[in-house]
Amino acid sequence: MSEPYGLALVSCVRHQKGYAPLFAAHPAVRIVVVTDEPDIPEGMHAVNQGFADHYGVPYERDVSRALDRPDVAMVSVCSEPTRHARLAMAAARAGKHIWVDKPMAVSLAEADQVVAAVEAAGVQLSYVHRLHAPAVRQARRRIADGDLGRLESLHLVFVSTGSVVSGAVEDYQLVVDKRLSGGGELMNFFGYPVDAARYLSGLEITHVYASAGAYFFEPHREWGVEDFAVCILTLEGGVTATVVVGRSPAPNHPAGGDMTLRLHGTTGSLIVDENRPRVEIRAMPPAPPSRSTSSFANSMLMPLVEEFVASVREAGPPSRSMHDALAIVAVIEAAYRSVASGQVEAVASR
Amino acid sequence: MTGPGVTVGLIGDGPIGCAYREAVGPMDGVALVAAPVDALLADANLAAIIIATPVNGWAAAVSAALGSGKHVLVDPAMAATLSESAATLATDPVDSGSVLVARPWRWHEVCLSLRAAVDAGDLGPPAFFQWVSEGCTVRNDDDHAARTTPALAAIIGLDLGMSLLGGEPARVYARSIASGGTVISIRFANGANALIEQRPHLAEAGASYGFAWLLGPLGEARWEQRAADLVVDGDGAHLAPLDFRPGLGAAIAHAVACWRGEEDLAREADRTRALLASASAVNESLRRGQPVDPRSHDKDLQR
Repeated sequence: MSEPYGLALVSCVRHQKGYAPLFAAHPAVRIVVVTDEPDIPEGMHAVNQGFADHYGVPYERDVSRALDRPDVAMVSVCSEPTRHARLAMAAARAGKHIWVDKPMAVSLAEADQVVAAVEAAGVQLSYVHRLHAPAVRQARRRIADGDLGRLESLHLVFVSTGSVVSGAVEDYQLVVDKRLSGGGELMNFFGYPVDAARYLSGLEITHVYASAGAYFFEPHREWGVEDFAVCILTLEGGVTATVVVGRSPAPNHPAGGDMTLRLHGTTGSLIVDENRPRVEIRAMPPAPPSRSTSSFANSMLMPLVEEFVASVREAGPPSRSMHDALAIVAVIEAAYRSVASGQVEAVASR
Repeated sequence: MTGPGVTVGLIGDGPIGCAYREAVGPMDGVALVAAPVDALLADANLAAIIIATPVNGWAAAVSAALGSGKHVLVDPAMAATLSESAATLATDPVDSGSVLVARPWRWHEVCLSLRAAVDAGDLGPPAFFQWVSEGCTVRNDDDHAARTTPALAAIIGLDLGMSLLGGEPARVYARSIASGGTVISIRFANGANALIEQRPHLAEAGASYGFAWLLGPLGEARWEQRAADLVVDGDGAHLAPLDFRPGLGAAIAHAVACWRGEEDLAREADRTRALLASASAVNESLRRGQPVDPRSHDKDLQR
């Protein structure tokens, strides 16, 4: 395999518009085909066709044929979440390296299968996360250096603002229809704070308590999925993490949502706010939400793409491996069990 | 304040006692008497006793005051531990004094502003309330903080949550943080959630932090103590500690109105009981490591 690596965009119905341009801009990657499963709705085919037209590559409606192409070395899987695992496994079986949108799978059983397929194929897998943010990296270094003393508690907020029907999501049913999404905003967003908790603490999450509901948005209520949740996690060593996660309706939020991490140790505290420093515009009529001065794409996604390409080039796993993605799915699954039971639920260990 | 005169005894002359004395001072028709405890308990002219001693003496003082037929006003959580609180409440003599827990945060300007936003319908029916309080816990020593913070967090959080979200707590889950903090998730019968995080002051870091967040279907209200609250003095820059005193006067005034019969004393006493029942459920959740339904504890306390 030689550079540039041929990339197949495998389904473009969710965040591909954020990822594909980064791959297209990477000197070691060349988008060679767009593909998807043949029996998806025509609307999804149309979205995929649009991407193919944009990048001037063919749209192959049969993903197995696209994965057979010798010029495809890697794939970017951005389908609705319930197809992530199936498409990732297909790519692994075809010997292709995998970039997969979050979550890697919507159940632990599926995640186990992905890990087994990737290990059997000997390919690399990267999942989408936010841990390349410079402030998060620095926070980890400070914690590892002992600046906070012994870590005692973490308090994490990931709340995106705006309705799923306001244009913030490609198609709101991809978030609220369980057959497509696998769940509500816990499935959609919970992985981010869970990932941050594991990454920053270096500890596994052992138990989860979650209280959730559809409080703010009619589509979530109508489809019977949560839009908001409050969780308390128990980490190894008795460390506690609180998590507020979901989607809020707060109009005109200056940064599109709250993404903060507060950590407390025996000798110090640390706060990371994804949106500070930021450009904040408050004006009439309301301006579009402002963003951090170092945008999500620049500060977090591009390093992630770089790391994925490097893992392919060097034939070694990225810093956050499929085992981390698997651990995230296990915590999400425990959270859903907790919502149903009203009890603290143990996280399945692997 | 106007109305019939009422004489109130004060037990305790430390910093908290001074705070009470300063808060009562400007109130019309309220006479504050400070005397040895035995004299206060024997004084038939006293309608009520405010207890402002160190926390370890609260339970005994509350029981003694109630036993002498006085109404009682005491800080959250009425005793050093939630277990003591529940035990003390269970000895509350019928047809004599009633115990009220001073809840200054309910009348704090931050919470009044949140309450005003709710009452004005600005947010729609709120579904989530978060209260973060770091550095405001009275801390005499580590042991004290470890024992009292869960009770304090429970009372403050439950009171604010009940006030702002409405309804009664249906499920509480609490976890202790090693250095004495407590986090509590409260799910109300109407489905709304509150998350209360309380931690003692990190003396080494010299910082405190406060945050309140109320979220409804129409919008959000939030308060955060941050850079604007920086105080610069001879010790360098630090955040001003969260101060409960702005609400203390209103809390006392409310209690006095209850004692004068201008407010429903029985309803307030019931509210105290409900709060302590929920706080007791927090205690059990900490012990069991699972969520607890406070409503079962309320029934226990009423037996």
